[in-house]
Amino acid sequence: MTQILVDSLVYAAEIAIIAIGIALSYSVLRFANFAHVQFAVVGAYLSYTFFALLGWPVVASVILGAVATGGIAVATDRLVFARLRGISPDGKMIVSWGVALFLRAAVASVFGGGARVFPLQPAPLSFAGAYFTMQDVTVAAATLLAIGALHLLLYRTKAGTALRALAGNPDLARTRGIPAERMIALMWFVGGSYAGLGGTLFAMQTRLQPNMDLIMLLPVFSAVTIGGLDRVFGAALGALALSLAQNLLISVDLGSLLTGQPWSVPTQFRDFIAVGTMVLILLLRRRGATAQAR
Amino acid sequence: MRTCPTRRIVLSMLMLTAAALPARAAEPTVPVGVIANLTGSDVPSSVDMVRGVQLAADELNAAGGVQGRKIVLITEDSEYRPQAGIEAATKLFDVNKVEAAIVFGGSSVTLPIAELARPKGKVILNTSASSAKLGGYPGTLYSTLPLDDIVGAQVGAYAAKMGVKSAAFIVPNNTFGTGLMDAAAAAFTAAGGTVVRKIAYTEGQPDYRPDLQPLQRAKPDAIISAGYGDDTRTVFKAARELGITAPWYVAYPSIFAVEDPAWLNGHMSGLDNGGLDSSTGQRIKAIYAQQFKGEPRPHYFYGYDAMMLLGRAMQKGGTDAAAIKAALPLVAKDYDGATGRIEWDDRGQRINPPMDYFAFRDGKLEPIAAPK
Amino acid sequence: MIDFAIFAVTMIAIWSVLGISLHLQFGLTGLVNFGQVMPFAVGAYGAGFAAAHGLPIAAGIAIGALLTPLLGLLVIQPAGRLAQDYWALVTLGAGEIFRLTMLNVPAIAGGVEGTTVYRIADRSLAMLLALALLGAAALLARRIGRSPLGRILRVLREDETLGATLGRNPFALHRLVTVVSWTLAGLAGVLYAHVVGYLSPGAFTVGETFLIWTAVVLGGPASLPGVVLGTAVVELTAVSTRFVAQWSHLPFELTANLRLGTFGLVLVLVFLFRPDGLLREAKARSDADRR
Repeated sequence: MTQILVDSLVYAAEIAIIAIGIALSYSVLRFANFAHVQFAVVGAYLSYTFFALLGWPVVASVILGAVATGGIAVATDRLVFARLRGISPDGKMIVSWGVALFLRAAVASVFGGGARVFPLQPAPLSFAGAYFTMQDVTVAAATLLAIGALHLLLYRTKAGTALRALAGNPDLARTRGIPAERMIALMWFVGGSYAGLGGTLFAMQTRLQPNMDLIMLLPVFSAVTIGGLDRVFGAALGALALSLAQNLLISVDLGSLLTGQPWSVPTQFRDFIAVGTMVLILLLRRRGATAQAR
Repeated sequence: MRTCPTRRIVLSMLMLTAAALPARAAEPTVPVGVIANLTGSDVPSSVDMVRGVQLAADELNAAGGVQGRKIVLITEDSEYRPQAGIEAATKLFDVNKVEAAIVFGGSSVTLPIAELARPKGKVILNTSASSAKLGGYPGTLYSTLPLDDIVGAQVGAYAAKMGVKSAAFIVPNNTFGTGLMDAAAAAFTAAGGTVVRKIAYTEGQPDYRPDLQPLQRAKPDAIISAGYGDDTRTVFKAARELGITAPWYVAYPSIFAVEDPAWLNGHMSGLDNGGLDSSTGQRIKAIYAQQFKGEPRPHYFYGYDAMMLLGRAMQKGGTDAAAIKAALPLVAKDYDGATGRIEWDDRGQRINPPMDYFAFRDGKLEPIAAPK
Repeated sequence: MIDFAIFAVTMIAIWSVLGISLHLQFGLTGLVNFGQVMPFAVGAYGAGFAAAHGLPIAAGIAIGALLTPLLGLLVIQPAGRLAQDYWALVTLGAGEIFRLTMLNVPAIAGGVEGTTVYRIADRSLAMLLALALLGAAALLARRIGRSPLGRILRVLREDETLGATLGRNPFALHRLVTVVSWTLAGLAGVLYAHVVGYLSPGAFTVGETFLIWTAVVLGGPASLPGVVLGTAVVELTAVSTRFVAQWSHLPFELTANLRLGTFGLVLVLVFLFRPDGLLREAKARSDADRR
């Protein structure tokens, strides 16, 4: 049981940082940004370049990778999304898919389509019957730190207040003299670097591949949806809820409870659970959503 | 004005197509199609397959080609998507007029290509897909690797011979994984073993601890497994973290990626398509090391054999598909390939493949004797 | 060469039907379906189910044609009143749920292994069938677009409240559009299965949905000829880049990636420089329709 909790926590930490960025951009720009997940892949490749190819220290590589990804996100906004502020949310969604496709091809052209692995050998640990590694601890700690830092930024700084005002009521914020475009750039930078950080942590745990965004896409969007699309910290909780739901469902022996024959949900249904939860939550929330849309 | 950009796009596309079309007809050549997933999943193995094919084509050309004509390879991307694979095959068959294509790709890509090739009477040489369904295309599809039903049965029997009484399975949830698992489980059960848990995991996940926990709870004597490098590394990592100590019996240990060599030392053994120690296998392995550095993946050898067999069949019978079909089984009889002797049944599928047994010791696979 | 042209035309026709289906939903009505591959997959799997269980081809067609609108209603019934981007995520999820079910439940049509379906041997016949389906779909869409219903749908697209004040129930109309457009896509799926001869879940991913979207957005979602043109351009780009790749002599892995990157770039550039697509919505002729 402790093991299930540990597994869930680690997986939640991996997707939470990425999910936060999507919620952040949704709260300000009001569209689901598919390119965001691809930023995570770009960030992971950048950190990999610094660490494994240039031999820089791991922490510096990760931070630099995240910052550079933030820069790429801002550049993407300047080049593409800034020119499309006026179009409908679904139009932006489609454009973001185009951006993702382009970035994926760019990454694959530079690094090749094969998988790469961060050359790390984390030490195994064990606590209260659960097994995990030093890396798991680092991932969880980094995620908590990142969430804390974002909280400070949003609630303890002027820029954060402005950003929240922009998310709450863009027109009012503009008339109050908040420099909307600069705040939006800040939002892209923060979102982009969080994606880069999340992607790096994800890749350290598994591997790097240009199309790993497709593996992260559904769980991440599911987490954001559970948390409530525009609620930044909700996304982190959503990641935890999803992760717990997945791991509990596949480990509970439903068969013994119901029929006496041991049987539990096959593990390949994890994705199924993620998507199913997302759809279910969306349907249950429809009243609120409709009210908001009108 | 409205139609102007449209027309321009269509026109430029037509021009591009036209520019690409005329086969540079300086000297007569023999086109051979190659379809591989150059983007998408499993790219490195695909690339190695193409390298093997290229090497064989170069060697055939250096020795005079096919009746004085040079073999020209036309390589297409299947993107690991059935739709793109069909597109690639249609282009090769209808525009490039190839009579035969060498295909790398999962069964989901290879099967629709075979479906397309059969009514056209073309020849497919399969270098990677191993679903038992591929046996349903006699006279169209020839495989240089044995299908899952054959290898799977041998893995199951091997585990039983090693004294394993209860086993759990963990394989990727794809045709390769589940096909192999089912065949191995059947053979293992037939030899008196008990299967306690079967797990098919989704490829590409960051963590397989949740998948391995049910396996751990089932307390098997041993784990029987198959998988592709990238995922197997994550599976081993999860097993190590969970403290799973059961030994591993695996199909194709050479495509496994070991995460922590010290932990796995002496814990993994299995069987692989053999014959790679043949003189041809050793020779082309050395060429690979020289050209690209490092060790080739097994598909390099399957690709090499596919092209060699195809080249020899064309030399013997002629370059049209019917002649190739007639000649392929004949040239296979006295071909000593990079993957050993190639024996085809009447479906064109490999039987009695040479199998090598390996154990993982001191960071590498060491050959061991076949179990009695 | 002629065979290749036949193949290309067949595929363009089938994907154009999907495009028209999306044109009805998005271009005309404003429904953002990010699971457009789902009705296509349901149709194809209707044929696949029939083939895997030894049923006649007609049964497959019937299953595909009936199941698709039913599932469409099942998706829109609870989700119909959602805001557009929520609806987009719901349809995206529904499409994935269908694919994952086909992947993990082998009893339906072979699971990961996929299933072989009767393949139309006469390729010209396949092309004619595809063109006939495209013709029927185009006529139907044109008819809907020019009817009073089409006008109301356009009003709804621009302003749902206004539509409602005109005494129309937007939801009932959305349901109607879903049934019609999903059935079209389902029929395209049935035909696709019989053209290709083999089905597996890998052919119906999120990526396919976005390929259809690229085509529709490129051509002009609100214009019927635009949708067909967009599909033709996307399909021909996919095909012609193969020739460019072969002719350029760049490393094969690089050209393969550049090919895919081109699609992303086209999608972005169209939005930046030609947001209505290549062909704009034909100007409505009646006064009542002037916006």
